[in-house]
Amino acid sequence: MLYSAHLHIAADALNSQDRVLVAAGTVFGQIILWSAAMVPSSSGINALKNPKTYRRLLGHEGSIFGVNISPKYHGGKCYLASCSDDRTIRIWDISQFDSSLPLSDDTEIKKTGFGHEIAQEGRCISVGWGHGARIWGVQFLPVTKESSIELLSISEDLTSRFWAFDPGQENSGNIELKSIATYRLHSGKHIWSYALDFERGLLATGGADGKIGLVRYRDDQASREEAWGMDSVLTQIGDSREGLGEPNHKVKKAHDAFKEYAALDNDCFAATTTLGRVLTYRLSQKRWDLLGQWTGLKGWSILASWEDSDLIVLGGNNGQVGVLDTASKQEWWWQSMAGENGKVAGVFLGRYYILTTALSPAIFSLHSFKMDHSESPPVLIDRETLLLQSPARAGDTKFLVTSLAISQRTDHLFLGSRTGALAIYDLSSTVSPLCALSHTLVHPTDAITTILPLKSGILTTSRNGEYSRLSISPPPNIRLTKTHALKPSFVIEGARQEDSLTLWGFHGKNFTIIDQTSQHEVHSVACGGAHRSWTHRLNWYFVWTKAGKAHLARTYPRRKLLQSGLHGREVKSIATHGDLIATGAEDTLLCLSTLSSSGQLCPCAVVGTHTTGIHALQFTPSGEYLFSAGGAGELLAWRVRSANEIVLGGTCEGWSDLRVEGFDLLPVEGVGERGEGGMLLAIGYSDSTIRLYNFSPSTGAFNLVMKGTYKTCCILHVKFLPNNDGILVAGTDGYLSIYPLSDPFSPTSPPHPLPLPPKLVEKRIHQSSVKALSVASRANGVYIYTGGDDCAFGITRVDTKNSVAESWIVPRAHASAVTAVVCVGEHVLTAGVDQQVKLWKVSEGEEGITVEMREQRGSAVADISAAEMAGGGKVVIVGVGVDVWEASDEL
Amino acid sequence: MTPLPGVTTLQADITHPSTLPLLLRHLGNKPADLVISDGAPDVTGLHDLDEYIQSQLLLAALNLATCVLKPGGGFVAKIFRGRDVAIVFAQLRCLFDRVTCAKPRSSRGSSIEAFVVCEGYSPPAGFKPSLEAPLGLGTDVKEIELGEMEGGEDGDRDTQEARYIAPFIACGDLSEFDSDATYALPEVDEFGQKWKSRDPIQPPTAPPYKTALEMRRQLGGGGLSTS
Repeated sequence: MLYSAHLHIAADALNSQDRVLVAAGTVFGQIILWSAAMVPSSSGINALKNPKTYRRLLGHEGSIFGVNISPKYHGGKCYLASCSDDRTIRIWDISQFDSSLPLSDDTEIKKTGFGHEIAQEGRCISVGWGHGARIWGVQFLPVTKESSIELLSISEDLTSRFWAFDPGQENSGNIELKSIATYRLHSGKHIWSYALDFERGLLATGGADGKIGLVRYRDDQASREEAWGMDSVLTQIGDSREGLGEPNHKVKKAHDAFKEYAALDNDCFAATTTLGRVLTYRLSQKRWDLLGQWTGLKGWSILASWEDSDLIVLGGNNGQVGVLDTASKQEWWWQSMAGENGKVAGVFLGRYYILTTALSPAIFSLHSFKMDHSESPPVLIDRETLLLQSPARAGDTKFLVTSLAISQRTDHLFLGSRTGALAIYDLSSTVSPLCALSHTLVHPTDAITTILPLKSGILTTSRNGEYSRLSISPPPNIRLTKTHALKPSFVIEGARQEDSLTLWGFHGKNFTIIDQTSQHEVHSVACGGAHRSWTHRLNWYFVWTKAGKAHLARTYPRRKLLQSGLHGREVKSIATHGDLIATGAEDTLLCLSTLSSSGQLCPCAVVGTHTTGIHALQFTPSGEYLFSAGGAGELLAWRVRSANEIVLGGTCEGWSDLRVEGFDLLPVEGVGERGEGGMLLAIGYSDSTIRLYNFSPSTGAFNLVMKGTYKTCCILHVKFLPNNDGILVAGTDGYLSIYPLSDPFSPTSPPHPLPLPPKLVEKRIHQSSVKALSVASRANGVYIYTGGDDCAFGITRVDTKNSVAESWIVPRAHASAVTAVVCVGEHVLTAGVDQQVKLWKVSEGEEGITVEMREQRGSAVADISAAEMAGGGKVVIVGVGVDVWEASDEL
Repeated sequence: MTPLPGVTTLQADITHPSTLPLLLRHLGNKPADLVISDGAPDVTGLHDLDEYIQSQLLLAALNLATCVLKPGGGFVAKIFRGRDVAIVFAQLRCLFDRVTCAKPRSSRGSSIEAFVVCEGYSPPAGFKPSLEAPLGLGTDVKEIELGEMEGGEDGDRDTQEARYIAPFIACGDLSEFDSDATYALPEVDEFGQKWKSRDPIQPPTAPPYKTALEMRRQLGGGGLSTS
């Protein structure tokens, strides 16, 4: 069985006929290279004659998913590349294939499957390792350099990789296939497709997440890293003096080293050294310059810059703080705090503010000044110092400042601490020392790395991997409300909010820049990890210290998304509130999207808090809260303000072995301690238990009020029937069961959970699992529409007053499991794994129920798992992808 | 797989022509009453491809079965109940009296797999089983003159393709475990050892990427990080 093939039409030198050369990859790891002559015929379709098999190439340990025959390279060289389940790329030299004798037809195949033994083996000249999963495709690039042949590969591991080898090494018998660039623009699993534009150096990739990514690979790979040792820098600036101010130090000259960096603009950054030098580097001129050397900066220096102002600030070992104009080389120094001669522990900037902290800070100093640009060169004027009282109260841990922001609009100063607290000061106040208006723990308990004032509220990032948006109520009673919080699982060091949100920080050994809005990696630099000095100018460069050297990598934006996507794995659940769509998938992500009037899903927030696939989702009727559930018994409550604002509101107790496949909620009055409204949740678990919880939105607490066991089978659906008529339960046994719900249900949490009452109704509808279920209140009763694993569509009418249920079944409604059932007005829509969407008219006459199929269409979504009505009468179907349907008008 | 007592075990590729003579030799050249196939590919995640390859495996097993089955014999095979399963059911009906789709309790409800049970092998008159011209490839590939296709209703052929929804039967012992449910483990096993529940998805014992994992371990992930 073949998994892959590549055809290459080659002129045959001996005959006038062209030959088609075929490379075919088998499921059992073998590549067959054969050819046939193309004989023109009158019909215009060539016939194939005289097939010859040249090679059976062995070596791969897994199925061959891709083969590619190279163009003729320098010296008539021709190669074959193959990629496989064994996660390798192999290069075979097939330059001489047509001069060798074809394999004889009677080569006896002794065994089939893996482990075949065939005498003639082709030459594998190199093996490339690097992908972390199956490799789906490989292609040679046209040659650009004689000494380097390049290839591209795409993989299940979400990356596309460029590889290169030097054919000149062939004689040495050891050709290294090197990975030269890796791009990751997708999420979930799999890159399935790609296209290359050699002329412009573009690569487009398509993933299972529905995204199309674009990379300017040639430009990107042309900008190489630069690195400098201190010696070469000192030589360049013509300054090799060492050990300033220590003429008696004769033993061994102290060696200078890079200390801190600060980006000045697109073309220039500054650096300090351990011997007190201050340097600048110009990228366009590739030139280091010495601004000066200060004893106060020896051994200890702090450096920061106001980007695009030419100004840097320096903090020294003697409590001195200095502002330096890198253009005019003017300098202004002053004592950071009266009577304090210790080190300046940190400087944090707003324009033009400097906050300095001492090592044991109870008081911070906020220095402000202006630059008088009427003078040439501009001079520093109006310097003032304001004292701030540290927000740390007695007995608290120290408030170690890690970030600062000033909102010009509200005249508020924000300080972030190493333990995740945020303090707000009112700069319009005249009190000294100034006390904080508010002090709130925002990111327990890691450093706040950035504070960005937004149009309304602020955005904060933390080293704990979280970023959040906070709204701030107006004074005097300042209260912070987290309206949005996400954890993109890397150490966030910085952020910029423009049309989209860009985050940067460290991920493993890499410095990574992420477009959080469209969820893709913008850049990644292998720098060695987080613990080092660095600076970064977004979209331009990243500078860092590694092994004593200063390194620089360009971070020009060379990647973008041509099309945004949703989940990279099977979508398992959906909930809607008008045009707001929540989807949960096996990629463990919860995604909020909006549905446009044209039926397009526009992805907004992506939440990665769940640790397993999300199998059930439900909004409250008001849309303010969303609940999500899945494996590990996880059930989470979310406060949702818009498709872009979602924050965790509570976590229900979980059990690692259990799954939640179905739950429902009912708004109730007077649940919380203060008697406010809450939610009653009924949750079905895979161990057949049913638990009812009261959820209090104000505290985020779940209180167990009822607990019982259904049978032994897995519960798939739990629904509150209309009018508090009971709780409907369905599972893998194909039954519908109804438990009574006392009316009104007692909202107070009993000391011990109540037992589950006996069932009111129990009726078998399907042979096995009830895969889909929808409840509708009609004129003559409550109807339960079900889809079964047995291909059937079930209709059940319930009369809970008299504990009667009557059922009808449409066997073979679909060719496979019916996995979605939705009421569309008076009609019922079903969809199944057979990728058919059917609309049924269910009417009740004297003879009972009649069911008529009104419409049937194919869906492009494989493995359909659920469907839901959304705003504007649209039906959203989810599975491997998403389909949006509109029920036609005449129905 | 582990050999079963009283069962002759052969390891061969069912899609390969050389397998049939091997099989017939072990059957003593007598026709078989029942052919069963539990073959499945390593799924890729691309549903169209996975369902196609599974149906090709089924077809290969069927092809082998037609060469060894006695009239009235049975054929049971794993099938993926995906988009075009109704076409496979319809094709099987050409060769068997009854075609049913069965799913035992031991097969997870969340899995796409089921088993097609074909009873009463009765090939149409004139049908000659052959491994040289296997089913599914077409028995005779002829060069089509372009003129024939002009004005033809080629586009409609797709919709007229025979489809058949086979009756579904849930099967297996009702007292068996439900493969979708979670069960509490007893504290200790029969040897007094503490039970530990395992992840339902266990890694393969000898994956084709074993060497790749080894390489990665040796290099410590350096330069290979994809996270």
